Amino acid sequence: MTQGSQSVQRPIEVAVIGGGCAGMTAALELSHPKHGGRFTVTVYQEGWRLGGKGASGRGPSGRVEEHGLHVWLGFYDNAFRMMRACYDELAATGSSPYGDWREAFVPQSVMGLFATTEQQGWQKWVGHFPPRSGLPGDPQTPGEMHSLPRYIAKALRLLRALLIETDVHRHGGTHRPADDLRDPNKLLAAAQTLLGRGVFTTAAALAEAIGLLGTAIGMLAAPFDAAILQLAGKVAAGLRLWLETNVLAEDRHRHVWEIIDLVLAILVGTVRFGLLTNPQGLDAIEEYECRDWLRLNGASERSLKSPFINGLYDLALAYEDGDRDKPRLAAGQALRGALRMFFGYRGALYWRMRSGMGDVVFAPIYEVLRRRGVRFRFFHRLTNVGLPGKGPADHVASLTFDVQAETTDGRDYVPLRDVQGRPCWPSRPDWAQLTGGDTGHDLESHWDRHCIRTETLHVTRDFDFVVLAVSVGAIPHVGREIVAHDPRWRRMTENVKTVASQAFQLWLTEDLARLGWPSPPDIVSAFVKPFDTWCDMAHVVPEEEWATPPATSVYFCGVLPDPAELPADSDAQYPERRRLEVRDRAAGFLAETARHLWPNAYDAGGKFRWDLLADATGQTPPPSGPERFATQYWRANVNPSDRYVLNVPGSSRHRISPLDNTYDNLTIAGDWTSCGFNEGCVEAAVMSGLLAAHALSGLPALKDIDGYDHP
Amino acid sequence: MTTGERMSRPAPEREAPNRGVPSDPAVHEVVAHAVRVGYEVIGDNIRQGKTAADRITAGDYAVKDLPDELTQLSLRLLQLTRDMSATTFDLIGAVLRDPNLQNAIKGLAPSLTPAVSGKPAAAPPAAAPPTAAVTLTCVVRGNPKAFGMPSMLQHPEQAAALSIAGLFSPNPALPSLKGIKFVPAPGGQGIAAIVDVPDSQPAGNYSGVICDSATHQTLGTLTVQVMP
Ligand SMILES: Cc1cc2nc3c(=O)[nH]c(=O)nc-3n(C[C@H](O)[C@H](O)[C@H](O)COP(=O)(O)OP(=O)(O)OC[C@H]3O[C@@H](n4cnc5c(N)ncnc54)[C@H](O)[C@@H]3O)c2cc1C
Repeated sequence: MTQGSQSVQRPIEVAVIGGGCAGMTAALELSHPKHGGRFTVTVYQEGWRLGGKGASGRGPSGRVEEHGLHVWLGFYDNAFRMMRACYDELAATGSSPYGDWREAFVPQSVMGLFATTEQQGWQKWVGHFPPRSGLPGDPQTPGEMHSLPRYIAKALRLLRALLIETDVHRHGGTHRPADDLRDPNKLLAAAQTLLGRGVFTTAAALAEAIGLLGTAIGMLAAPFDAAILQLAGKVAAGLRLWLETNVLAEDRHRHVWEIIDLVLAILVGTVRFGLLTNPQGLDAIEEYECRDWLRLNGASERSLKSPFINGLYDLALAYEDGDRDKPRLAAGQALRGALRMFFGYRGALYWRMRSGMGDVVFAPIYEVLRRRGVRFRFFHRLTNVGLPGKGPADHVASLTFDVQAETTDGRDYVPLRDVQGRPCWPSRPDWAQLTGGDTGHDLESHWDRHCIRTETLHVTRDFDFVVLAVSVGAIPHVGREIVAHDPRWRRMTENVKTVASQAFQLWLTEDLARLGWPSPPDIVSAFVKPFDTWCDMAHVVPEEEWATPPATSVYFCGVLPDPAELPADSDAQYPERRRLEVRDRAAGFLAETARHLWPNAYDAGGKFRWDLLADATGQTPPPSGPERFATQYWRANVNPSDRYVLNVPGSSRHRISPLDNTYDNLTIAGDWTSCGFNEGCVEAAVMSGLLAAHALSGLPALKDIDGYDHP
Repeated sequence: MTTGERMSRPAPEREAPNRGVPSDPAVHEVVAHAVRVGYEVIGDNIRQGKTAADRITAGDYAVKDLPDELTQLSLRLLQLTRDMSATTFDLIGAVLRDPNLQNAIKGLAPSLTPAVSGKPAAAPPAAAPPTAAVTLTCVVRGNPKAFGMPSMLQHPEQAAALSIAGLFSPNPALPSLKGIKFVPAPGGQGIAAIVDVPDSQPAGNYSGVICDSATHQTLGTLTVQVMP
């Protein structure tokens, strides 16, 4: 056996299994010219397309059909760097259909929360996050390393800015005649007043003090009369109640106050838990549930139930078993994510894609990889990762696949089709290229085991190294031998939780302003479950191929609760049952709940105007009434590998790193691995892909994986 | 592919992120010292609270007085914690402004002052000067209905050119205000931002973040209000 790969002369054969963000990142790295052809890469992917949880397809009228609503946050430096390099590489060929990456990603600075409150009915909060210098994926400014003291400095500045801004809005002084404030001396005096400790500063200090009071009393040593403790608790609760009813409830800036309260809790917690000096960084609080940790550090119940916090859980789909009563987010990673999201973005807080994620991300990646000579084996579903039959179980000996389809002429399957001059993924396989034509099988369904033959690859004969980039939900099915043999893998599959999700998309003949949504076109979260998060996607419509384009499209997304008993592998109808469930729920949502968002979408009798739904299928006449919903798009993401990866408290320590060398020719990749940013998101998947490439080749250097060594 | 020798991955240099603070002793010492002081302040407060509570349990007070006494205790603790938190934040602020820490973080100072040698920083963070801030006045030209909000600017870490991308309304449909200039304020006190607001500017609040153009450090915010 050759130790290390340096002494080897022939190219090293790498099998990348799974073409999601993580697998594609690893393939891009290993096929990069910097390796001088040291690696030969083959990608094995079930079904007809790349993308995994980020896949999209083109349906009738070329409409974009997504797996779920996807945005890229402004701190995704590794992911943006990868995409920028891809776009540059294609542009350098002179025949790029894509243009500049900035045409593909659209910066967004507004994030909305829309939620019910106990007293005030529906409330909308719109956060405007000013553009920041630089662009995601730019080289990091020297000295701008990720460090907690720096975040704290930024948090303190935010706090100050919020307090000042709130006072600006509250102060009667600002409504003085304009010429009065033209005098620099008066301006100066006004500045001093604004900076004085106003109502808000006091309120925030009070709230924080009350939280600390509760903790301090809770820490008093025994013997201590339980009744007194109870009484003390009541005093604290009473004071908080007093504050909330007398000072805060009336305030129209309650959201600002809630954020101040939360930031204070984070600052207090950072000091109290010694996070600034802890060698584990924020992992030191990874066992706490996020809300519990904030509560422990004085955050008020009101802030913990605020749309702001709900929105963070919604955006992270952080509900165990899809149960709205089980919000679960590990505190360390939640804090890391929030710090990076709000204080680490460049350019804009988040970026929407101009078209489907498949088209903007995975089509260019596919084109680049093909040009570099990477081979693609579509319709290859991995069924087993085999360990050696004898000798130490220290490497992967074989890989077994179900082959789901083959091309009629034996050539490589051509996966992309042209829409508006750009290569796109279709929503279904191109059966015309495949033997037997349309078999009616769902080649992405875990419960449809259609297979025309099996194929087994053997180590040294067919591959040297393996990048296992299927998602964690698939590991018990494809990695049975390893899970049975290795307790760490078993613990990982038991503890790294996933959740099913549901999504639907509408194409509307009137834009949202006409339907009565007064705010800018932004992403809105914290709305009613299950479709708590939605986004206006009007900018995607011009990329589609409508005879009469609709005015806008809107994407909705949320978790999907699991049934009490998970279905058997033989239950072929399971995905369709869940899909129908989503359809009914989405149609019901339009019939009722959406009126809070778009009052003008309802007629004088209060009924939803179903004819607002644009029909891509071109039926004449189009269906009317609720039947018209059938012309829209919806899906239930229930396949094991498609389930969204959670980070529940205490689960991080069960994750395994792509750098783990237990099996000396295997590395893993995906947002479920221990990748430095343990959260279900594109950036985590890309980081894990970079780590997997590093594990096999030594490149990129760990210091060049942005945020890997984040506290 | 032809059958060859089985290959194995190179040995990993490590298998987990380095999450700790940079191993520079200066950073460690300064931060640790500030945190220690911070904890002492917290400890003092808790001790004082405990003393008061102990007196209650020891029966110094008639039972009928308890609720009142507890309210007093709560209020006192409240005041203490309020002061404490101010102190703690000042401490953190002082730590962050400490030049040793700044240099160490930036990796610019291989040779450091005595604080590096493991001793606490010369002046304890508690005695550090208050936040150095500059007054920012805002001079609005053009639209008579517009006026600027004065605020404070954080002192940049080094002499710096101020930059601001523009002032933006929460409603992106409204035009932003661009071309903002910074000049020394009249009378030499602080800095003045000069904002040209056209007469056609719609009513609303427009704000933006002021950065040090060299380091991108955020120094403050600027807000202009256009009255209806
Ligand atoms: C509804 C929803 C919304 C989301 N929104 C966002 C967002 O806004 N922003 C964000 O950053 N992230 C978002 N995410 C998360 C993001 O999509 C994932 O973190 C990311 O796509 C994970 O990439 P991956 O490569 O780790 O896994 P996957 O994308 O799951 O890739 C796994 C790949 O393996 C393939 N595969 C599985 N089993 C087999 C097999 N047996 N044989 C062969 N191939 C197989 C799959 O088909 C797939 O191609 C969202 C996820 C969901 C579900």
